[in-house]
Amino acid sequence: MSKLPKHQPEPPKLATRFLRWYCRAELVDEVEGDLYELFQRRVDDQGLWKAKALYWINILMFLHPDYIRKNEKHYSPNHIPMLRHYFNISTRVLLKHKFYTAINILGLAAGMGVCLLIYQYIHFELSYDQFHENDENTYRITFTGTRNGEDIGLDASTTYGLGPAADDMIPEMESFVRTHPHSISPVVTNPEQNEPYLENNLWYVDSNFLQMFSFPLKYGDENTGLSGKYDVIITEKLAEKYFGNVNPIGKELKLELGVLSGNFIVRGVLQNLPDNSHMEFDILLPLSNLLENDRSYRTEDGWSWDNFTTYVTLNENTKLKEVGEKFDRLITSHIGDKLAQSNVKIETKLQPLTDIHLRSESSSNIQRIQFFTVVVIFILLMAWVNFINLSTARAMQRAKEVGVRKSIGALKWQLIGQFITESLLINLVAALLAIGIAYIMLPILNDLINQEITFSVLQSTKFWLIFLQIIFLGALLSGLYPAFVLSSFKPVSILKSGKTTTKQGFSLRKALIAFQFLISLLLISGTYLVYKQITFMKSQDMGIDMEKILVVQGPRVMDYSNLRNLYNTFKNEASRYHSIASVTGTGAVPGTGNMFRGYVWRKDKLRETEQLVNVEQVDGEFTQTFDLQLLAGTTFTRDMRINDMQRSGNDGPVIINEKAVKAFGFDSPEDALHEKLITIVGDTVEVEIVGVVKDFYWNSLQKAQMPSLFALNDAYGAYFSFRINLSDIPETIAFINATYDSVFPGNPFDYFFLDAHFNKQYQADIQFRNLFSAFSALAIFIACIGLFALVSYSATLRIKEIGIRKVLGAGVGHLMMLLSREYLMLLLIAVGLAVPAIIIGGKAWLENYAYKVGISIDLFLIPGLMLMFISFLTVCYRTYTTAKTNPVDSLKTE
Amino acid sequence: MKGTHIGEFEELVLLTVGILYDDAYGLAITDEIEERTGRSVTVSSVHKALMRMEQKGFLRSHMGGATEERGGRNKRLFTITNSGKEALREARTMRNELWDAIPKVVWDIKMS
Repeated sequence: MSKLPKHQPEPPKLATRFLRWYCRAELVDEVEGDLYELFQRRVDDQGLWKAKALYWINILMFLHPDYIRKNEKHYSPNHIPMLRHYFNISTRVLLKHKFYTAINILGLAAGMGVCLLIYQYIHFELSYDQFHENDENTYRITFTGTRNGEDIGLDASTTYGLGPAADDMIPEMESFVRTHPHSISPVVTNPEQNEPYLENNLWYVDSNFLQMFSFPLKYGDENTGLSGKYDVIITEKLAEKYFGNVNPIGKELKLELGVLSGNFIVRGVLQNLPDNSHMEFDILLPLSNLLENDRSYRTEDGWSWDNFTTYVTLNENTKLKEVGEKFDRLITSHIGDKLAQSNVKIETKLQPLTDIHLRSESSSNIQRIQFFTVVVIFILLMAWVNFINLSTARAMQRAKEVGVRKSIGALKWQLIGQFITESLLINLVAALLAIGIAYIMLPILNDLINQEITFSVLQSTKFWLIFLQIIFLGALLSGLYPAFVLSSFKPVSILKSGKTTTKQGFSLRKALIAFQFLISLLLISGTYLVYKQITFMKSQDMGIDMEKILVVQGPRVMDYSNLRNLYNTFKNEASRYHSIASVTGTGAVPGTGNMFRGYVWRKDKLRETEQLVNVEQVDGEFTQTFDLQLLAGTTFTRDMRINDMQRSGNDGPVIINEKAVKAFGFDSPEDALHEKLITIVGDTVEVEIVGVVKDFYWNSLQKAQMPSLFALNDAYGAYFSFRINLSDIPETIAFINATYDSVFPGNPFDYFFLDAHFNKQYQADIQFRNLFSAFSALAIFIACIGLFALVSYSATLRIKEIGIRKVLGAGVGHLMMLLSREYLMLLLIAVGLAVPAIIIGGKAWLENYAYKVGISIDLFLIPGLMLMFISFLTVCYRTYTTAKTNPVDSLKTE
Repeated sequence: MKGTHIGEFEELVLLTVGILYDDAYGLAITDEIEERTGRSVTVSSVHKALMRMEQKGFLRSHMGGATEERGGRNKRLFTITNSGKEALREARTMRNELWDAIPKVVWDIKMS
């Protein structure tokens, strides 16, 4: 065996191994030996290769039933009977305890259903703008930077000149598109039908817009539309409104937009825009038209007005940072001195198209999504915690079963298998129910968030894989603990005394209940905080009595040369009505943003001191109608208005607010009077301060109040605001409508109440609050059913004890206290844990608001008391029925 | 007769086991058959026959020592059992009886 003569050739190893694999163990040795001997002989006789080949053949020839190894296990390898047994026992146990099963399944299904819904919602939010073919290479040009050392945030407004200049200078750029949403709603008419409508979403875009963005056309050609100055592309929705179901290509549409009015020819009809597009428009007009007719945009070669958005497509594999730096240099070369004068430093950032919806300054959507993800995970955890709690609590009832199984020889892993099967069964049933729940609740979610989401994820295999994984994982995790607890009972002690509850298991259950209380508390407090903040913002003294103000959209179709007279006629006619106190025409109203935001500086100071201010064009009745409080100076006087009529430029008297007084460094409102301010609107404009008003809110309280400047301009009538008496609103509106129709024939009459309009700004917050409260309701629901089941369980366990106590004279109140005391303790612990979390989380959220509520004691107190009340009710209901039972019955049982 | 019947190849193998006496293992038997009969037989068929006959009780086996030339593997050595001998004898008797039963005439005709 040991010393081999010379070196002997070895037979092919693989063949030998194959023989050893298939051949019966008791035969391997002899066969191998014979073949080895034969091989050696053949090597000498016939050569190595032939010997090897024959060795193989020999080995294959031994493949015969007599030689092939039989399965060595003596018992049947068939696991199906055992699995079927697991399944049978599980269903029997579950059906036997219908109440607990129902609670388990219900809680899990509710949690899972909401998870499904939110998954769909998140899926939708993440899918924004991904339908564009070239979405990966398309970017929006944005800026970050500082102004006088202050962060300006993410700004997507670019000048008109940037795109073309960059196209020449930056070779990585393939194409660019500029868009410019028109701020004033146009009046649109089909000349054949002559019925005017007011439209809201009109965009001016470059002619290659549809080549960069994949909005599919229903009619028309993406290459030719918008190449002519009077081309228009509309959405399907609008096409139906104006032309019915016919193909409107080549037909005319009359658009009234002041100097930009004209008859446009429909060149394309877009299919309705997808919900997950960050761009929202109904009408597209060529940008060339805007530039030709509104010369102000072309000042300084297109480097003055910056209310355009520029999108670019870049070559693949472009280094964004380098392109950004090229943009920076380009901008510096054009308006570097201007930026330096204003002490502004900016850095160009190319924002991926698909990031715009989630990661822009205006919408903190990504945070919201992260928040909901966390909440949903917690809710699911709570549901599983219920399951764990109930299963371990019921351990006692199952203890005998475990004991018997163990004593007839069940292995520990077999018991675990049994309990995991049970858990899997519950989870699967819950998952099925969850899909149903999610279906039913989808319309509610859509209602809460104002979207039209459909259940698209149900069609993706990836989703089902994840869903199944989560369910299996959840079933395993939530089943594992009870399984281990139950399977580790010692059969002797169970069968002898029936006692099983170990101290350990019980304290974990307590910890889990405290965890559920904690999550519920956090959610209730969160809801309460959001609610408080919204109420605070709504109830704050706006400085304007918005309830009494009715706003009418100004006319678009009229004789523009006679505009001032028409406006005055309308205002005079209307204000004659008894319940109309006063009327004012303005460029914008609170809640619609600002017409113009620009840099203004004091005439007696250097330009470096310039301030960013909101500028509104208002007429003479502005302060009276909005009932603004004058701190110094006067409102616009009759003389000023007569002068205003004669001058043509923008120079004139202005009223400023307190913030502006401070920003420009005046010592007091009086000090500001008759001072001169300078700004550049195309040309240099010089205005004189005639009055100072107390600060009031023009925009949402989320933003800080800005220095504002109200310039007298009687020829402004984008909106007419009426201060009315609330007693006979319908008649007043009818009267205004009639007057409007007679003065501005051909214009649709459209009105709204200022307070409702203003509060629309809080829509996102209100949605957030709604979702938040839905979540907390769900969390409370899940926590309560868990609590309810647990209390009922512990009550049934102690039914004899209660019976004896009653016999000895304990009252119902005393017994209830006995049963619910431990849960109250847990609740108190949860409150203690929740306080720091609420303080930290609440502060972080409130950072988003310029004007906010403080964090006070009621933030913990009210949710705590609420939860205590709800859980007390839950506990009481159960303990009361237990405490009331006749001790005779309870002592007689078993 | 029933149950003790053996086939021709089996008979051949059984006889060879007898010839080899105390060194009757798979390969040696194969070699011996090839040498004496000039037929080409494979190790595997001999093996199978050996196993079959051991199951029938005609052969008995024990493990012989491992040798160098076998690369350290054991060999299974076979010896004929009594019933094996009986079977052989029976086969022989039967054949003789059959021989004797052939009329002389047959031989004469054949020879002419």
